[in-house]
Amino acid sequence: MASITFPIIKKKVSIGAVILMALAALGVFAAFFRWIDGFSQVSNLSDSRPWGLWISFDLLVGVPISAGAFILAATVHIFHIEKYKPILRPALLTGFLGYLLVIIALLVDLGQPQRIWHMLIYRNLHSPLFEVGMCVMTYTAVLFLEFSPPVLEKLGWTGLLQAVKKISIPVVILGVTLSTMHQSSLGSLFLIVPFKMHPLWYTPLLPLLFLVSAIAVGFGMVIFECTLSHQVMGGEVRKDIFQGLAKGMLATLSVLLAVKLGDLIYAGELGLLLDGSLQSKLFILENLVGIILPIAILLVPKLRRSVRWIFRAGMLTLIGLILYRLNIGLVSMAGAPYLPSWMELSVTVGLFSAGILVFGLALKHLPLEEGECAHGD
Amino acid sequence: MNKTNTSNLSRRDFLKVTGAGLGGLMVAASAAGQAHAASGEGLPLPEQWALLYDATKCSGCRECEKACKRYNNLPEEDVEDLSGNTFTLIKLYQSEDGSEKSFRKYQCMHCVDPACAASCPVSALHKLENGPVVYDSYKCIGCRYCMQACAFGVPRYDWSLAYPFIRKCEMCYHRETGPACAEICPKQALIFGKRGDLLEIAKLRIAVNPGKYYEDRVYGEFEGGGTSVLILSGVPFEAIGLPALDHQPLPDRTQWALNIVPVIFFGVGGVMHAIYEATRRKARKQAEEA
Repeated sequence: MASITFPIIKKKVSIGAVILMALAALGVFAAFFRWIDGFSQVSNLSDSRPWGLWISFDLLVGVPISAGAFILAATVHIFHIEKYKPILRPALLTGFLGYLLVIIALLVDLGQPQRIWHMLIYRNLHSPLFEVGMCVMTYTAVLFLEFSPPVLEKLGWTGLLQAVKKISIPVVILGVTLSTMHQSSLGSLFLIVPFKMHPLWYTPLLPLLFLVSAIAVGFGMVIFECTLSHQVMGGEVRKDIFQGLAKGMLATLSVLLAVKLGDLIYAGELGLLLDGSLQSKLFILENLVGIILPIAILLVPKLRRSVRWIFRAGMLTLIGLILYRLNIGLVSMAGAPYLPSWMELSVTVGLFSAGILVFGLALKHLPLEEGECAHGD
Repeated sequence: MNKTNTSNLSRRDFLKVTGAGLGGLMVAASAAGQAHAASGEGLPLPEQWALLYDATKCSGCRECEKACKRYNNLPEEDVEDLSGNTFTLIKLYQSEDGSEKSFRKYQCMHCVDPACAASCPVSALHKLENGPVVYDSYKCIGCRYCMQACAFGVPRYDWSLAYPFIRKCEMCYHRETGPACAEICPKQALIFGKRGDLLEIAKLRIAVNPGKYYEDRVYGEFEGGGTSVLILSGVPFEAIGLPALDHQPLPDRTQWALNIVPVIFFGVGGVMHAIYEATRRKARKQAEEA
């Protein structure tokens, strides 16, 4: 891989990493601009578009793509399916990083970020956003605990390591419970806007759709990051793990398709699919790319056994989820036309670049060896 | 060969740790009950502060706008919509052929069961006992969920600032003689009073002038669970920008999902624990056999 040598630190850094660093720096610049100068100077948000890219992508996509952590933690520690143990640590790391990025994005988006802790003292139990906020805070702490063993191993703090291991099962169960709650509550956020949201997307089942789509993309992301870390670290791919993940993803996507279709039929809204509007086309695209295509791929026995095709199905599921959440946040809601400004985009892109950089560093420097997707015993 | 689970957690430890989490949730759940009881208190609905706007009487003089600006110390500005510095606004609607005309006064509708207050995660927006929906800026975190949730698009933001607050009409709740806009209205198009009395007046006007008012009904009596700003119009409500809401309060649509949160917490937690116990025994047996 091409690389650049930095004279100061005398280390070689790959071109890819340099680009990611530049993007992350641009994101930091845009974020500071927002904190110092104001919203209208940085964003295209307005009174009729109070939520833009930061909520629709950083929050509504950032949270579900971190769902792999609770799915795998439950599979290994609660269901005792040890086969997946090798990929648990990278998934926990992705989850932890994902939630940290969500919180940083919220600090950019909030008008009074210095008061984010107000949720602890001015609670409103009628607000789904309060529930989401509390769960995200608590679950980030849970993920910190769940991911701490490799860090503690590296530091050699055995006493603390033993303590963390001792409480690991209740922590895992708490994590699964909190995830079920807030993954679905992200959908509940939109239950209160039945008259502002396009009927193709509005349904009382939004919390269920958000939860199931989060589980589906959780599998997809694990497939994605396993492929990535396998390419970085080398070694042989454990086919049985990939096939198991693919089965889980297929089952979840099938449930998602059944619920979405059943809901449209029950509400008598199938006709809206063919009204030729931009919304209907985007709705069809989201479901075709993110649900129907990956199901079709995984239903073919030959493709279901191929690591390459499983990866493709996972990527489609991921793209489909991004489309779904962007549609919910930006397309389905009535309001002025909105496209994110380049500064808004910089924050989002910068945060994800920083996430990938940290993930790469952790792969290299932390004992994730339990964590390689690449090798068996 | 796989090793057995690293965790050698005893049942007691499990209960201890989980118990801490559950205890926290139960405190939250009981607080929710209290909060709900609190929202049921306050003056009976017919006794609460309200405004009646009769669009057929409004001459569009905009004295109400000026009075609002004076009382709330807001700078003059030329805007076509409510804004961070404009809490009320008169707009003129005209049908395409020009045969139908009507003014409409925009302002906070002061819902009986406000979506903004239900959605605010830090209770910055809340309904006073006597009706007005008010805002405590010192609590606000600036999440803008209220702007998203309001069916009338009322809460506004100071987008030019780095640390903006929500801005909206608070029905001059701290003013003893009621809202400044109603006090100044020369045509009695906007009157202030108790909600029960104003509804009676509105219905009387409808009864005395059959056919004058759209659908012979008062907008806000039931819409979205009812509002404290009641509107009479000679033209269709939709034509003057009033959304066609049903009678269910908007927060109800979220409440069921929040009500099942404790069920999810205990249900998912319990099921996970049961699965853990069951599969651990199985995994151990398999390990012994092997």
